[in-house]
Amino acid sequence: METGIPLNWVIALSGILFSLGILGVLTKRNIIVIFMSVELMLNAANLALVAFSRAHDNLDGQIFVFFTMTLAAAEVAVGLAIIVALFRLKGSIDVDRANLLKG
Amino acid sequence: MAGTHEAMAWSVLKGSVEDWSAVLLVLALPFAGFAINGLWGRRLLRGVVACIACGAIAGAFLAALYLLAMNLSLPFAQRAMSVYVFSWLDAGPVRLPFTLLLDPLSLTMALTVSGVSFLIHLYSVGYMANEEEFSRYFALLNLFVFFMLLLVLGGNLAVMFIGWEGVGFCSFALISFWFTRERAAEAGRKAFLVTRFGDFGFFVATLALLAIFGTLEFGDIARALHANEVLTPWWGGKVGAQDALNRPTALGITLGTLICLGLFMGAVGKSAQFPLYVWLPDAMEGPTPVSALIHAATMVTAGVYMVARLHFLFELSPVALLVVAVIGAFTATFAATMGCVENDIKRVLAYSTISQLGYMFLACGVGAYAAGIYHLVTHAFFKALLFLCAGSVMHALHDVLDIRRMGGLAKKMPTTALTFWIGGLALAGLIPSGLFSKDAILHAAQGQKALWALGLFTAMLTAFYTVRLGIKVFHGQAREAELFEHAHESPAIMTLPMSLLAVGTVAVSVLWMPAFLGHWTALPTYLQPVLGETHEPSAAEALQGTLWAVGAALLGVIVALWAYAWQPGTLWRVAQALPWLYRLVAGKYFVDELYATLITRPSRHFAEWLSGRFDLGVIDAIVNGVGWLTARLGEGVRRVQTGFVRNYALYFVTASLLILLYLLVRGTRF
Repeated sequence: METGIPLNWVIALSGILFSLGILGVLTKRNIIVIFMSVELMLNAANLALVAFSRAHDNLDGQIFVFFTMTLAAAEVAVGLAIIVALFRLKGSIDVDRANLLKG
Repeated sequence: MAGTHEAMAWSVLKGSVEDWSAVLLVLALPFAGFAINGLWGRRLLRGVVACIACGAIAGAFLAALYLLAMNLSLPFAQRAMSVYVFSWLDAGPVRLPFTLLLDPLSLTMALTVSGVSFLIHLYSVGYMANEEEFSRYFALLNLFVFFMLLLVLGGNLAVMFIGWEGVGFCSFALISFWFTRERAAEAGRKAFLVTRFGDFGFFVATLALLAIFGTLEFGDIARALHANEVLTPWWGGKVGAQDALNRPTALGITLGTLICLGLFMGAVGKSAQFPLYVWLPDAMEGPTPVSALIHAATMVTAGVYMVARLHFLFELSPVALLVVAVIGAFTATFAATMGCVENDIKRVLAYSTISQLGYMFLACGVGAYAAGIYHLVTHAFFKALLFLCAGSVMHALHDVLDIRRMGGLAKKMPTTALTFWIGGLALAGLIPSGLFSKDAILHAAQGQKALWALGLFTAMLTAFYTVRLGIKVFHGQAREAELFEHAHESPAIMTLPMSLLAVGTVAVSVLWMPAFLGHWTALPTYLQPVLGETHEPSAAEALQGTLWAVGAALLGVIVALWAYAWQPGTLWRVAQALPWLYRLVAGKYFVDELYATLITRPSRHFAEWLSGRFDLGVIDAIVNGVGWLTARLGEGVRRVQTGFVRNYALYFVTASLLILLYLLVRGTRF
């Protein structure tokens, strides 16, 4: 058990994935790419949870991951529906064009 | 009349509301009448509205009669019954249950109020037949009676205060019933504000009593005072009840005196005594049956009732009692003089009411509470009658009020004239029952010669102005032919209540007759458990007192006859010879003008300053300033809201990073 990938490496990987997700959300205009970036962030968090779970010999973290996955699935359903609606409305999936509420 | 053993006699028992549920009916019926007519009256037929209104009061009267019968069937000492209805306020040391008090005094009042009110309601059906807002009128009339009944049946000062304020509001609403008339609206406002001013004293005194006794129940306060129970008043420590009221105050009078004067201030406002009487003459702007209601049954009698109800408190303070007696006697004379020169038929009656209420306070002040209540009851009958007669005259003459334009109406309106003379002579103290009740008061006042003399003088003035009014309206030559030609007797629905009240005026005298006419003392005997032993004079003393009073009244009648029937014009020359006196009295002693200069105008100026300069310059400036600041801030901050989702995400990430940074710098030790 003590052999294998050290915890720090996994945490570092998780941090890198999370940052990539943030960068994607901040820089992309294509809403599908943003969406994928959000998924990336969620999974980065999942990775960290699993790693900690194993490090501490505690299953709570893994159970939490299942919740996160369920949530992510629901989010995908809602998010894709919004994207379809947005595309029907604007004929594009550029987030900058969704600016009806801009004052 | 000794004050000490009275409280002993008045011990209040606890009654259950199941046994005395009729009392709820007394209150609920007028309120239901108000609710139905107030909510749906406009959609109902006039006949239905009238039936509901009159029926509600008639029902209340019958329920009160039933309660009286039940009360009379009880043994003498158990006739005071406090009925607990529900817990109204229960906040720590402050406990105000909603209790109703059924005792001889409250039942006498409830019967008088509901009985006379019923006849006035009946009369109103005829009088207001052509009124647009028929249902509003009757709804308010019912509410008025409801509040008055609540006032007299309330078992503690708090419940009494609800009724007290309620009648104040209803008088306002009914005096300014024709609110589109400037003068009516103003009179209503005046009545409300002036009586409210007095209510302030009443309220403060009530709070003081609560802070001393910890209760406002009439029975509990009386018991505590009688037994000198140990209390914990607001200033701390433990003191006996009587010592608490004897505590000196900074004003040089005892606390008890101060409280009594505060209560009396409320009575002065409500019962239109000097110096707060000014609202009552102006209240004549309301419909005439409303005047009858205010003057006879509801409203103005409240003050007298309250003083009689709390007599055990007033009796501890000779100073307060003296003030009550002096204010009463002075007001009686003061108002009577103004009645002598007034030319408005309703205002003459208004001044006579003020004057008669003065008599009642005089009676209370000298300890003759039963006499005061007796006069209250008889006055309710004959004053209601006189107002209804005045209304009948106005009805016939199309709202002419000036008695200088009337005359000779007895030929056209025999019933009105006859009933007027019955009521008028009772008012003048020449026929029962006014004769007996006024005699009882004057007799009780004989101990204080100055007050007695004022009372006799007032009796003379009363006879003078009543006869003057009668002669000018109903006899002599018709002064305006056209008015006279169109005059007609009122319909039966109006003359019937008048006749009933005329009969009642005389019949009510069986309740208490002077000693030389035999042993007719039903009322004082019945009231004795509450108000204490009434000192009944011997037949010879009573006869002597009556002769004095009748003599004074006859003198007034002779002067009036001489001045208005035998030698018309002579009195006018006398008035011309004393122009300053005439102007002083005819100008109503310029009290209204004095108040206008001292109170109304300064407060109006102050209000104008507040609504002008202060409101615009300070209040509005603050409000506008806040708005301006918010708008400027918003303009600055709105740049943040770009509408681009990525910008928001950036704020979010930046903030998260800053928090992380902070945690790193501070260390993660929570």
